Amino acid sequence: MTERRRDPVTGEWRTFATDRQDRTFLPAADQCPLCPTTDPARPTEIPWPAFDVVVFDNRFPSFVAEPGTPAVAAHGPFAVSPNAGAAEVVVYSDDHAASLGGLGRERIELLVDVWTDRYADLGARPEVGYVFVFENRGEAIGVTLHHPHGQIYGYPDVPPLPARELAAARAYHDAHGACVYCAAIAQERADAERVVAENGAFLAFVPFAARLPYEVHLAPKRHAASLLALRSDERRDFAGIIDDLLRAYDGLWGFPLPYVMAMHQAPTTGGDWSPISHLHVEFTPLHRRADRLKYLAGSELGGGAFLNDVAPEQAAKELRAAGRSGQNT
Amino acid sequence: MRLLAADADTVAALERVGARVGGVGVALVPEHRLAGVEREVAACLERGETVIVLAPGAKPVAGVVSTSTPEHGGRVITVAEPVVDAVRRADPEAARTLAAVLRAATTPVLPLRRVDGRLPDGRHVARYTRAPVGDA
Repeated sequence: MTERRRDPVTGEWRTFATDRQDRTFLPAADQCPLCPTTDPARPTEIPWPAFDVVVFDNRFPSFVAEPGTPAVAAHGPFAVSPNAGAAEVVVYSDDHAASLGGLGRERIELLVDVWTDRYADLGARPEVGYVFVFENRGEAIGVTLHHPHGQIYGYPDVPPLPARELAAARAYHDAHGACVYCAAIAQERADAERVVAENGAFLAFVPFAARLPYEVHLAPKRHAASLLALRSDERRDFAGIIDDLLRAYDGLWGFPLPYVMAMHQAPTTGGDWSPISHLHVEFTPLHRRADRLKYLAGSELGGGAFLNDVAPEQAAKELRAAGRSGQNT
Repeated sequence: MRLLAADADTVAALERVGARVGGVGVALVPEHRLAGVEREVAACLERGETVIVLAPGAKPVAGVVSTSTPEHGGRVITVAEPVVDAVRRADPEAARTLAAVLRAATTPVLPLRRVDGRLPDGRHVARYTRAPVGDA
């Protein structure tokens, strides 16, 4: 069963792809489907003996370019739609034991360019209305493959969280004639105490009203609606600040910090999103201290209201210190 | 030259053929904001956006007459006026042409080498490496 159903109560679309129940789950290193194929008798997903970055259609996709007919028809208040879109896997390296934070700046720069190319490519497809680049890292987050990789979903429309952000940005723009994210960045730089790292074009900061204890956002300091709006020097700075943040995360408690990385940028539904969309990446680790996770429970899952156990100013201070010590090792 | 007025008909004609104009960061300035063009253009460019300018009388052969990147950011695309006029008349072929050239003109030149292929079961795969200097 692969289809989308709209919840008439919230107006949100939910995606069903039941084949994903059987996807590869935490295989042994010598069974990894994302490693290069070194023995033709035992091919992996990637048919080359070595590679830098590879992107391919997910074997267990949530969205496809030519979806089948939904199993149920729309009826009453229930709307149904095919899973039109795209689901890609982005493999960062042929080194099974590597991670995004340990790849080195040059490889992250290549990856930023690959994300930009995929955004242009997928965004031009008629069935794709929002290109969503993301990574789940660590078993605490729920990864099923340890090989360093991320994913890209091409949603047919704008998913709920970016849609809420864009609606708020539209209201702010209507009231003030400016981008709300630009205003937030300017204030974060002025306050300084939540800034984790900064370079020529990008800022890393724990948001003033962060949802999770060590949540960090990365954003260009000037207004840029999407990856396509970045100049080559700005893409290099983007790679640099990702590297800086991951060094801080991994130095915080001495182990690779599990996180969800989610990139928000201009929808590709048509229309002029440029004034209100501000490219940014949200990193959301689930740890609230080295040995405890922040679970999404009653208030967060039931009420949609986040309770945060760590002051953003304190989290930023710890991450700055961890980043400094990471530079010295 | 004057700033392209992004009237609703032009935008609709482009979007009907998949221009995704907003999605690729083109600054579309509404007609009623044409006053004070210089300030508007400067603001768009400083935000890194693309400004479309009409070139009256230019040959519409390629649709886009020129593309330039100012030092302080953004991009200026000069489009032949007859092409935009055709788009406004809802000529689907002209809209398709302009949509294609706008997409190409607003996509940055990435220093990538990409090789596309198919996996044994037919899925798309792309292999990326860094392009040698001068090969972007």
